[in-house]
Amino acid sequence: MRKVFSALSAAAIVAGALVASTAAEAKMKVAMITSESGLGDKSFNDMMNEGMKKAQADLGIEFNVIQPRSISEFQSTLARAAGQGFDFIVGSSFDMIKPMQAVAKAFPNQKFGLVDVGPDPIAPNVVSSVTKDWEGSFLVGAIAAKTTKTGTIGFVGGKDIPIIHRFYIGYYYGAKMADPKVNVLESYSGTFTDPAAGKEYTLGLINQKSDINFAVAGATSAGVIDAAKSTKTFAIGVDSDQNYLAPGFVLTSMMKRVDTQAYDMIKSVSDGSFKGGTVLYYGLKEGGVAAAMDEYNKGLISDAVLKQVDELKAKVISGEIVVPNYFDLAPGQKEMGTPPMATPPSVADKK
Amino acid sequence: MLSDIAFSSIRIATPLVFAALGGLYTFQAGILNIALDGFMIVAAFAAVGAAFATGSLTMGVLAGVLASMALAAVLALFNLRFRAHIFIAGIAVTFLAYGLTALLLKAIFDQDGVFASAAIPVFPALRIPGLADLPVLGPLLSGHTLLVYVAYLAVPVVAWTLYRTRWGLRVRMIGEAEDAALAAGVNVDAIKLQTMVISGFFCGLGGAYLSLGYVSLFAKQMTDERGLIALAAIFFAKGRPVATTLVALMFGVATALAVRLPQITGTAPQLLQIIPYAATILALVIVGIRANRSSTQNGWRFDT
Repeated sequence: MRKVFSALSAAAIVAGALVASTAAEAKMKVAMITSESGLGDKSFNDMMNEGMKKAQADLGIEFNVIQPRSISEFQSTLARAAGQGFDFIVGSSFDMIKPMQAVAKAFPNQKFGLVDVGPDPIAPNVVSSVTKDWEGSFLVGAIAAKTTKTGTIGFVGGKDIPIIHRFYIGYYYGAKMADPKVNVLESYSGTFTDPAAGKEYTLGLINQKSDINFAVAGATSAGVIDAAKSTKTFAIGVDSDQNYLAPGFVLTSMMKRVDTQAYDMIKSVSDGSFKGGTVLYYGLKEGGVAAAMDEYNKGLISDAVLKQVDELKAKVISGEIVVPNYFDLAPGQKEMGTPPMATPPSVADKK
Repeated sequence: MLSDIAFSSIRIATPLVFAALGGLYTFQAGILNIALDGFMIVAAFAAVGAAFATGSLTMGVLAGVLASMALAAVLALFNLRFRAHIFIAGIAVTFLAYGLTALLLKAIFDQDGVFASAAIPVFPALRIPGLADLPVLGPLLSGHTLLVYVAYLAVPVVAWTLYRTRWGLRVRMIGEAEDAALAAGVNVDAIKLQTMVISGFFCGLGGAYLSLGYVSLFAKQMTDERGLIALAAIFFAKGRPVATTLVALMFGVATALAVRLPQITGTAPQLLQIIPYAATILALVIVGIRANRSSTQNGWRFDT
């Protein structure tokens, strides 16, 4: 509590001119800057807002949500917030990296946070986080392998590019870890914006006996889910909880817990452990990824499967299992992860 | 396997056929209508919106078609009344359609990229008695949704209106020699407006098919440049209805192969995904050579 108080008074000094009269009883003030889609997106912004509410309840902070209307407004919005004496300003999305770098440089004493970006540090006064989506993909891969009735599961990626391969490798590793005999089909629709193509590719996979398909393809994913609905198979959503898109046909969603990430950042500011320039990694251990469970997929995954998957999850958390990150693999590499497993053909045969 | 590829080719080509049928009316009237995507996206949105609100597929398709025709009328207004260049006006209308549907998606459904709901009715697959029992063609032709049949059955109707009616003669006359048509007392602007609105009608069906028949959801920019592919088919076939449809089908086959082949053979997907685009470029090259050869024969120009 004393720590909180000292952090608060330190913040009060920074913001002194603005809030002098209330400084003594001032709560920590946090600004959340939404990405372009704003609140109500049923995705990252809404989830992060939940993290704010949790921080409000647990840590007694005050928060404001600021919604820029477009990417071009990110920088001016950040700068305006930096001028208003917030103790901490937190944002998300890759598009905010450059604007935040510029504003962080202009306001070197302001603390910033940026959620779910790349492994490069943003600035000396910005803490950022990387979501270990490969560990989340591992989790849903294991669920899919344990749930499939046909012994074949599929993957529909938006484009055949490294960042999407990262999901596939995690998914593949999780599936094979849960059931070495399971057959994992890999496909790429070549577009992130065409649901019809997503459906077409999924029907192709279903035609090859796949009955659970993991969609990592932006708006194309909606077509993967639609195909699941029309063929009475399952889809797996990505990034946020997409179970609601087709209740009963989305087995689960690989969720990036941006709420936890934002909450932890706020906590670090409030207890004085904030360290600018650091990059935090959020995997299963840190609660940064999860398989979404809600009323829309209730009963789709059996308790026995959940128990087995929890055991695998515990092994990842204890470090007994290390899920391979595609970016650490060399083309043509034959084995990956701990315990080692043969790489899928798309990696093993690559020159 | 083969019948499966053929079946999905027909399904994939359907929105292209609709858009191409719409576009070839304006093509024949000498209008470069590049707003096919714009027409389709408003139709896709209106169709999902109306079907969601009323629970009726008929209302959904009707709303889609009307929205698309209204946008077509706006484009005609810009071009014919205010004399905006058709190319510029077409781009403006397309962007307007993309932006407007994204905005309304947010405003009405509070969704950022995709709107899907269990309350959106779904077109059932039709099993055609008699046809379904044919040995090879049966599984290929039966089992599609209603709008697929509408698309292909519309082709002879379109051909008839263009080649067997007085109105169609006037449309083609305007396309070939607008000045001559004017001199002959044809109301050029009225006919151009009509072809544009018909263009909107077919694109409306295409958009409604995309969002209600193919999938049952709306996503931002879900037409994914199908209008431009349709335009390429029109150019390639010089706007002849049957030939245009065949070219659109060819694009469908190429896409179906791009979907299925890598899954079976392990070929790099990118290699096959470029087929439709490579075919488009090839088509335009052939058209270019052909036009070059025939340019000495008549004064046909493709302009406003």
